[in-house]
Formats: sequence, structure tokens, C-alpha cells
Amino acid sequence: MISFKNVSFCYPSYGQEPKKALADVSFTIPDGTFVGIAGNMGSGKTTLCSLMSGLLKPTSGQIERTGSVSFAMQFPENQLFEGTVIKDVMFGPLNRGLSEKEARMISEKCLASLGLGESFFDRNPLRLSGGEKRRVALAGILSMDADTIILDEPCAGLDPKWRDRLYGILQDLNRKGKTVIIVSHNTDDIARYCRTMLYLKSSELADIGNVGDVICRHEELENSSMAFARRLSEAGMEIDYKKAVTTEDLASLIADRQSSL
Amino acid sequence: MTRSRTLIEVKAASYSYKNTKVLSDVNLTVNEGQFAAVIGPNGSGKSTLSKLLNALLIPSEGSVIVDGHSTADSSFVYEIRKTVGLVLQNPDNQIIGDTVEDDVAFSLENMGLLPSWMDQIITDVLSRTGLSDLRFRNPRELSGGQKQLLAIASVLAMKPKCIVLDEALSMLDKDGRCTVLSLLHRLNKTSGLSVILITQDVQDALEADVIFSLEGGKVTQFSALDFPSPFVADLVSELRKRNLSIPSEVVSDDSLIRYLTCGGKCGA
Ligand SMILES: Nc1ncnc2c1ncn2[C@@H]1O[C@H](COP(=O)(O)OP(=O)(O)OP(=O)(O)O)[C@@H](O)[C@H]1O
Ligand SMILES: Nc1ncnc2c1ncn2[C@@H]1O[C@H](COP(=O)(O)OP(=O)(O)O)[C@@H](O)[C@H]1O
Ligand SMILES: [Mg+2]
Ligand SMILES: [Mg+2]
Repeated sequence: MISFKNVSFCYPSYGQEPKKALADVSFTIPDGTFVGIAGNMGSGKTTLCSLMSGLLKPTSGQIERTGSVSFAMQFPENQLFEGTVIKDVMFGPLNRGLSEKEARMISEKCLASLGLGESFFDRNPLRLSGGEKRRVALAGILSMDADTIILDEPCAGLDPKWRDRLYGILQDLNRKGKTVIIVSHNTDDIARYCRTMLYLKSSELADIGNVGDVICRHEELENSSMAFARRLSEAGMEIDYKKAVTTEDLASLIADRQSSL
Repeated sequence: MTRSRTLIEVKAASYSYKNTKVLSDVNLTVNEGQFAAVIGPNGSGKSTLSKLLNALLIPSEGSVIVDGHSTADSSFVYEIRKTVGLVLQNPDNQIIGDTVEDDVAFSLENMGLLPSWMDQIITDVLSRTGLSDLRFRNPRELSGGQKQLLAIASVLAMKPKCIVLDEALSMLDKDGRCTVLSLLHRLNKTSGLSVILITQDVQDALEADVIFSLEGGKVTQFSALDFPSPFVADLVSELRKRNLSIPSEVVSDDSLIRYLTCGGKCGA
């Protein structure tokens, strides 16, 4: 569980006016939720994640949190530092007291789930492609086996196949009871995979709730399926385009319409 | 504006890191004023190719010719880097200044520009990329998307003939992407800037004159017309699962809307 009560955060800006990156934010995320965070550039998404993970302390307000958290920062590949891929992923598990053998087993499993087989284990993580580095860093996060996993734009730079695989892995973890919190600009993905959506707008919490409801309440969050449905209704098809939150929803709406003709 | 002059020519180029070949026998041409997109899965060699184009890497076999000069000829490296500006995949590897303004200035100083000219160029490029308000901020204290904008601004400021963007839009929001893409398309149309956009977003690639698809070290060339929109492909497959028959020639959103709203009675 993560709960914010009137939380504000200012970055200390030497000499200048302090920069308020988050203003008076309150919400509660119960255990086992799958949350998507959306918001424009600079709206405070990263700041929010850093506060949720405990990396930053609020300037004012209270944060309550239960259970362990692991946090995949934006550009998590900047945090890679060991000489080999396998050592980098094993660092976390070893640090939380697992034996060498256990740590290796869980690390190999996490790497494999992200398509990085044995041939990658002994490579230098700095000499990989951008998307491969990203997946090594994410394997390191998954290997921590924390109760809550927070990921800040993890999909930017992954090809579509690995984006879907990552969401699949997160969905499985969520089904097993983990809380998953993910930042993304892609409201198609959020609608498809997340149940709750948290929307930030210029440092404030603009909305939080059921994904479909939040997307409907804010025009600017309109995703591909809803935009397509709106065009269909403008072209004369009688459908309630606000119900087309995902491509599956849209297809069902169209199929119902066609069969009733 | 003539569109036929060749700016970049990759001729039978291969590249190996130590003993692993990642590009093999790649051939492609980019003309002045052309807008090209490069797509391909992770690890397919997109970033490697981007570095070959501005002489950060030299092909192991074959050659890369930029504006008539081979990148293997070290006496033209400076010219080549000025002609082809590269925005790296990770902005943290590119940003060096202590303020946003300094970061742009640094690339201009490298070109030997007079300080009196610089101010105007900096003001102009920051305003075009929507960074004016952040001019005096420390780049390390910017959000991820803002850093990506700055990396693009610094390269554009040098007025290269060609800009290569290596997934450089991946953390921008809708507005930011729109600003950058329309700026690139405008410069492409009005000043003949060549653009090579490496992207995972096929929707963006569909706006290009030509699409180079990398896979298994090889390049295949497509026109945007040959590429179905991924959203439409997805929707069509969902519709078929629900027993709706959609003709295979329906590949764009316009044709699908037309087909669906005339009750399937008229052609696509
Ligand atoms: N410095 C390096 N040393 C050794 N191998 C490398 C190095 N950089 C990249 N590679 C390998 O070369 C191949 C191509 O990498 P490249 O970075 O060009 O791919 P990419 O298409 O840009 O991938 P991505 O979408 O993940 O950014 C990959 O298999 C990668 O592991
Ligand atoms: N270390 C920092 N110091 C000062 N300001 C910062 C720092 N990090 C981010 N900011 C500013 O705080 C605001 C929110 O940033 P951030 O949380 O990174 O946004 P987002 O992740 O939504 O893009 C932005 O205006 C950004 O420029
Ligand atoms: Mg961020
Ligand atoms: Mg790359």
C-alpha cells in the first residue's frame, strides 16, 4: 500500500525560486493494483515515482508505505555498473542476502524472461544495444522480487515485441499479488494493461481512478481506439465512442453494431 | 528544390564489433531533402548504422560516402560531422553544458562561431523546440523528455545538412513529439534538410519518404504505402476474430472507416 497525504515537493534550486515539482497530492494505492501514470513532460511523474520509492523525501505532507519497493528509474541503463551482465543482475539478490547459487538462478530466470539468454551473461553491459541495456537493467529490477515494482517509462526504446513481453511479465506478477506502477506516454498500453490510471497535470494530481473513466474525462488522453471510434461515429456509425477504451472494446462495439443491422 | 542529389551513400558496408558481425553488406542512399525512417528490432544494428553515417564508426568492409567524402578518410571527419548531425539514443551521453544555453553554445563554439552570432541562434532554436523557459536551467535537472528536446536542439543549432535521430523522441509527450516532428518536416520541406529518423513507432515512420527496415544485419527498403498501420492491423484482426470479414486491401484507417460505415456493401 502506498498512501500520499497532501504531499508537495520542491527541488532546491540554488539561489533561485524553489521549483515546485509536485503540489498537494493525495491518493491511496491499495496492494495488488496495476497503475498507469500519465502526464505531460515535466508534469512531475518522475518526482512522484521517486517519492513513492522513498528515493526523495516530501517537502511537506505524509507518505505511508508498506512492503518492499524496487524502482526502475528513467533510463535505468545509466545505473549499470558491473563488468558483466550476469553480475549486474545478481547484485540486487546478493545484496538482499541470497546465496550465490540462488542469486544466479533468479537472475538467469529474469534475464531469460526478457530474451537475454546465456550468450549475454558474460558480456559487458556497456557494449550492448540501447534496448538490450534497458532489458538488463529491468531484469535487475525484477530479480529484487519486491512487493511493489515502480517503472519510470521503461518501454521507451523497447521494440514492440519486448514492450508487449514486459507488460505480460508485469501482468503475471500483478496476478500473483504484486503492486505494479508504470509511467507511460502511451495511453493505448495503459488502457490495455493497467486497471487504475493516475493523471498528473502541471505538478498536480488531475485525476485517479478506473482507466476507462479517467481517459474519458480528459480529451487530451484520447487514445488510438477512442479516436478511431470517434471518427466512425462522425462518419455515421451509431456507437458510443467513449466505450472504446481498448482495441478489443472497439472491435466488440463495431461487431455488435454490424450484427444489429 | 532539386531532390535528386545524393547526400549519403552506404556501399556494401559491413560492421563487426570484435568478431561479431552486426551489419552485413548494407546498401542505401539518402538524398538531399529526403525524409527517411529506420525501423528494426532491438539489437538489429540501427545505432551502429547511425554511427557509421557520421564517422563515429568506420565500416569494416565497404564504404560510407557523405557529400562525396569517404568516412574512412580521416582528413574529412570534421566536415562529415558538420554535415551529418547525430542525436544519440540516450541524451545523458550527449549533454555537456552546465546550463541549457551553454549546451547549445558548446556545439556552436566547436564550429568556430562568433559569440555575437550565437545568441540569436540559441534564442531561435530554443524557441522552435519549446525550451525557451528552460534556457538558464541546469540540464541535469531536467525531466527525461526535456533532456531529449535539448539534445535535438543542440544538433539542430549547428544547421547540419542531415540530422540523424536515434530514437531521440522516445520520452517526449504527445505535444513534444508533435512540435519536433512538425519542425523536422518543415525544415525538410523548406530548407532541404535531410532527416533520418530511427524509431520504434511505425506510425511516425509512415510519414517518411522511404523506410529502411533492419533485421539480421540486412536492410530492406520500403515505401510507406507498403506498410499497414499497426493499429489498423490490430483492429482488423480483432474484427475477424468476431466473424466480421474485412477485405485484405483495407490497410489504412481511412479505408477501414469507409468500409465499416457503408455496411460492407461498397468497396474499400
Ligand atoms: N560496443 C559494442 N561492442 C560489442 N557489441 C556491440 C556494441 N554495441 C552494440 N553491440 C551489439 O551490436 C548489435 C547491434 O547493436 P545496435 O546498438 O546497433 O542495435 P540497435 O538496432 O540500435 O538496437 P536498439 O533498438 O536496442 O537500440 C547488438 O547485438 C549489440 O549487442
Ligand atoms: N533534480 C532536479 N532539480 C530541479 N528541478 C528538477 C529536477 N528534476 C526535475 N526537475 C523539474 O521538476 C519538474 C518535474 O520533473 P519530472 O518529475 O522529472 O517530470 P516528468 O517525469 O513528468 O517529465 C520539471 O519541471 C523538471 O524540470
Ligand atoms: Mg520523467
Ligand atoms: Mg539503438
